[in-house]
Amino acid sequence: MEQQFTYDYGNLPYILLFGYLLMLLGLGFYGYRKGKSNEEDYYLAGRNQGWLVSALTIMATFFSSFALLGAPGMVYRDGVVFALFALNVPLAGAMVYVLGSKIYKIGKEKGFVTPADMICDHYGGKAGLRLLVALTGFLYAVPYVVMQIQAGGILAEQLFVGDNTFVVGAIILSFITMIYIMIGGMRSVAWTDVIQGILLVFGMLVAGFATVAVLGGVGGFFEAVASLPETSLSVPGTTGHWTPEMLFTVCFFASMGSMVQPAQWMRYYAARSTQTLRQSALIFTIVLTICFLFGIMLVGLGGQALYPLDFSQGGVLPHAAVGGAGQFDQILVVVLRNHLPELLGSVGLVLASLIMISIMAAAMSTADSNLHALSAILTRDIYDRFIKPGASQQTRTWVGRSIICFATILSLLVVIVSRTSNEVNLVGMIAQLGLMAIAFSSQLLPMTFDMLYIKKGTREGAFWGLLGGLATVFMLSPMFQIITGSGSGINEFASTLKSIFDVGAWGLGVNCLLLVVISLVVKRRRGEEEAVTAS
Amino acid sequence: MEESKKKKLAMYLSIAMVFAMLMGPGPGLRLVNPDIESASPNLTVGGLPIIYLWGLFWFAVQVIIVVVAYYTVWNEQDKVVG
Repeated sequence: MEQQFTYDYGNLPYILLFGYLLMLLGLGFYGYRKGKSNEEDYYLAGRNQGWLVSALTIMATFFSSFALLGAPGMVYRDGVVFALFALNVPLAGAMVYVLGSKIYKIGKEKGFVTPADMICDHYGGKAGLRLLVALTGFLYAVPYVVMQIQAGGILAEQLFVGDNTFVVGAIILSFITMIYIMIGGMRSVAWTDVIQGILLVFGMLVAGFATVAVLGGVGGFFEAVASLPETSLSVPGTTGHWTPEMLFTVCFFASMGSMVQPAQWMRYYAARSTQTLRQSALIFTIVLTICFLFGIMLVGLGGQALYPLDFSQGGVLPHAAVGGAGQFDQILVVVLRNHLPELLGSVGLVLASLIMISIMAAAMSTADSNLHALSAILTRDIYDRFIKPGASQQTRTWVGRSIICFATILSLLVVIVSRTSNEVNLVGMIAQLGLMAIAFSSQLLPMTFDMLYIKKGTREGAFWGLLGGLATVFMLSPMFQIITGSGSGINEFASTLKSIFDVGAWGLGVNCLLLVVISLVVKRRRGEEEAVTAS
Repeated sequence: MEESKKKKLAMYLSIAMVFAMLMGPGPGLRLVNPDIESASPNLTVGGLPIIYLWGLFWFAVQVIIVVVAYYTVWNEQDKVVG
């Protein structure tokens, strides 16, 4: 929707954005010059990333447009209860070491590149399990890339004046990201992540401080917050969605699910040592949670005070100045764009533009990591195994680059079609899309813990557990509702389940149950067969 | 630190983290959730929303757990895995 802003930003956003994008391309080119033309270097930067690069690339991959647009949007819509979502971050940080150090060590010793390499080596390398693990990675990576491109479009719409700014912004974000990954691989992705990581930590904190300042400082901010509707200051929030059980399952499983998604998994392989991951885990835990709790979450709360929600039509709608139905994600951009210049004059203009660029950084840093991981998965786990085994490393690297190009264009088309069509909307609210992707990736958790710590599962148990988990998440997803029609009995049942726990938690329940039961049955049967053979 | 003591501490820290998750963003929230059905619900303490303060407290607990783990149990060496 068209919005009226008080301040003319002139050419400032263009200049800053141009400088930022030029820097990314420069880093991409530098990564290309430094790299070697083999697969391990392209996907894992020679397994030699130090603590600073590792910490920032893990953080930047974790932080996406979900953190900078989705999370404040959810706090704006649901109230203070969603601010507690930030408590998933320390658990995710702990996983960097708890899972990452073991994945690093096994990966380094055996030369693994993708998650499926390790999982299939542990359970036995049958095609079915490899394909299923690759599919899980695909189901995580594609929605996440789509989500980031959409965020680029939203930002461009807010930053620039003119027609089709959404489409132009989405195209620019996609193509610049695509180019620097294609030329420089993991090295470029990690180095650009360092710049993007610093930018987004800055953006999250300054956005929070700015919102507090807009409302007259800490006293004024909390006075304004205290006057919000009672439902905004209590559980389960204004929409009634965030019961403690729902919040717990989202926080608990989302945090761990995000840390076993393919792009993070490959970052563990790429680290220089376990000490690197140890330091990364500590930095991640402290810095990121502070950014959430003392930064970005305050924007959503202050946003509710500045732009009260509209309850007049039965549901919850954003204020007309923020956007139309469902456009809660825009609260950060609207608050900064409308109020920061008012508060700080020309410094405010620069800060607001920089924070917008940092949102773009968050989107690009997640998109690049996921496109890069997707390329590794499809090349190593599909092309190399089933299409052309024995292809040269150089050929495989070029196949990987082609996949990045294809996936970027496909994701961009999904975003543009959803935006311009009144009938097809494949892209919903950013946060919902992100949570669904995490629900899929969290299905790797049972086999990961079993593989690294418990070591009791069998290949059959792992396969059927993962399949059952993915199927459960799919059946509870909006996609399944679209396929079966909204009035069907199964959808009503699914809605009831979804109102109790997060979708990912239901999937994990089925997944764990199948993994344990089938592994026990298979082991028992094998034991009986061995006994018969021995006798 | 001895390996057995380290394992025990790691287990206690894991349990503490799960407990912090249950209390912070989990069912423990019911202990402090304002009763908005009452005539004058206590939504804030010292001007801050109770739910937000509750989150800050459990964040501090989680950070302590991670810092303790960092200095005690997270010191595995990079030996080759068999």
